Amino acid sequence: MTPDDVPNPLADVDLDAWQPPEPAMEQVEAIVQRHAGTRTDVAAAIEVTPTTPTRTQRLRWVAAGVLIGAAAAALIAVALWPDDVARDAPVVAPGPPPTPVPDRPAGTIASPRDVADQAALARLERAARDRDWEGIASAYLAIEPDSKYHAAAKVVHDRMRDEFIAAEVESARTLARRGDCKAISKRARLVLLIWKEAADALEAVPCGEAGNRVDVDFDPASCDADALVASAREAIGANDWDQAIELAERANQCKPSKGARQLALMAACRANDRKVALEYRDEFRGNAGMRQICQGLIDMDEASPAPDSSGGDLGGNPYPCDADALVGEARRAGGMNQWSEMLRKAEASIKCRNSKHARQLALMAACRLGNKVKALVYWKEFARNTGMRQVCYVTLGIDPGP
Amino acid sequence: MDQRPAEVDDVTVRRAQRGEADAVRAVVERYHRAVHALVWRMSAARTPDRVEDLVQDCFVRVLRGLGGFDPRGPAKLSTWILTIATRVVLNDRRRPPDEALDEEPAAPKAGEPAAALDRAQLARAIGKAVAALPEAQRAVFVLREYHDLDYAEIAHALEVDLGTVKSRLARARTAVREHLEAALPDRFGGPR
Repeated sequence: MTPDDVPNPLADVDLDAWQPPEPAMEQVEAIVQRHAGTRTDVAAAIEVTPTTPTRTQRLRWVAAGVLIGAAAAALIAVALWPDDVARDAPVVAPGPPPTPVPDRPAGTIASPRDVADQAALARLERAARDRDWEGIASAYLAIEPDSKYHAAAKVVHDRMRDEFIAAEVESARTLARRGDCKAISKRARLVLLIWKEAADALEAVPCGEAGNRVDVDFDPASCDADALVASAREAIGANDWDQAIELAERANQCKPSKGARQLALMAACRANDRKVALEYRDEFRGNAGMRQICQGLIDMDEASPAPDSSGGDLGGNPYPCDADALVGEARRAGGMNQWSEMLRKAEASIKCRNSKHARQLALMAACRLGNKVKALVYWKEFARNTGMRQVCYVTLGIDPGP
Repeated sequence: MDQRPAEVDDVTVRRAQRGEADAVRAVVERYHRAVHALVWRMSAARTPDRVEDLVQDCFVRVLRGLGGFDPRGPAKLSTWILTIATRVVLNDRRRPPDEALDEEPAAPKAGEPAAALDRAQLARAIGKAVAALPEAQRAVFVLREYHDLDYAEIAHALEVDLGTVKSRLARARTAVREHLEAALPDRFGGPR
């Protein structure tokens, strides 16, 4: 019994009568403060905030500092100065010059905030040397904008950020030349967590007909076929044929429909993708419009090779296939450890008639093959299935469970 | 049914992901009421202090995980946040034992219209009926009836199959109906 089978027994009940009390708006403040407090706590745990020293302690530290500094300088001078260099020659310090920071007036004690900002600047410089991009971004954010260390930090930060963006854009252009727009999208999402400007720069790299927007999350169990068809139409309207093929195929995988397959064929013919076009040709041989669109790419009258499995039209699917027979073939292939064949047959079955059983076989084959990308397409639906966890834990890097 | 809050725009989400305080506040303000309502109903409206704690826990997790949310992904931010809130409530192991609810509604105050009293009576009965549901059914019922999540979204939130969501919802509705018929026989006892 499901809600679709029976009328709603609560149709005549005013469920809205049961309302929660108004939440206290102070809670919002408490949450924001708690969040800010967590960030501050973390910063405080990293930085050591000094307590105010006594006058005697200060004098001792100053004296000790002077002595240690003088001794260190003498040692360095002796170690670095070769004998053949004149004593009055200028010394060239190794590495980049230290970032200039305004001096503190003599006799004043650094505030805890100054100490923290100074430490953050030091972290920023270390991160810049190590090309630790996240470290650079986070250390820079830790320095207050009105801090006297901010200007110096900004110089280093902006230089490194621009270097990072230039490198990312360069590699995105390489990916775009290969047509791998998905990889650019994925990278943009990652770099967004470091610098928004980097993500914006990647999104601006032209890739494909209409940019690099590709939805990588697709779950056949909870997809919306109508929305996918609508998106495929939009992509066709924007002449984004590759995107249209992908969306139409997903729509058909989500819920097999002639309309989705026709969109896939149309987009394939526009994109000159012969392989995909041949896949969808048979159903539309008699369609004059499709013949015209695909003219020159495929011969609509050419006989197709015999399908893998003959059989009747199951589940109202006009596509010439037998989903159950294909599932049987997938199982047999699996029984012989032929995982590629098993995956191919299971996916053919899904395309013919989308069933949970076929999806599970496809997942099993993908996991056995070690094909993580394909496994992820089917994983969500079976994430709680102990057997599938054990089959897939190596490929997906998950906990196999008890 | 509670309306889903209008979604926060992508720019604000991205700014919140970068930890900008005003954007974080905007996200919390926008979704706070919905999360509070969800937690309150899923906790069966019995422990106000605990509800506040859970709402806070929920937002701590939301803000901690916000960096991983993809504004251009298939899930709306509201759905993502309600999913986290649902899991926070279900995973809450420190819940105090349920307390008995009052058997009778409060006496009408002078001048209180009869309709308002009827509605208060109905609210109390619904609250008791929902509180009596098994936790798994209660979660499905609250998400569907009060937060407008569709079956697929509920299935994802609770990590169960679509069919399980449907059967739990059907059972929950029937159980609530039976409870209402027993509690308010004059209103719901007759033939439907």
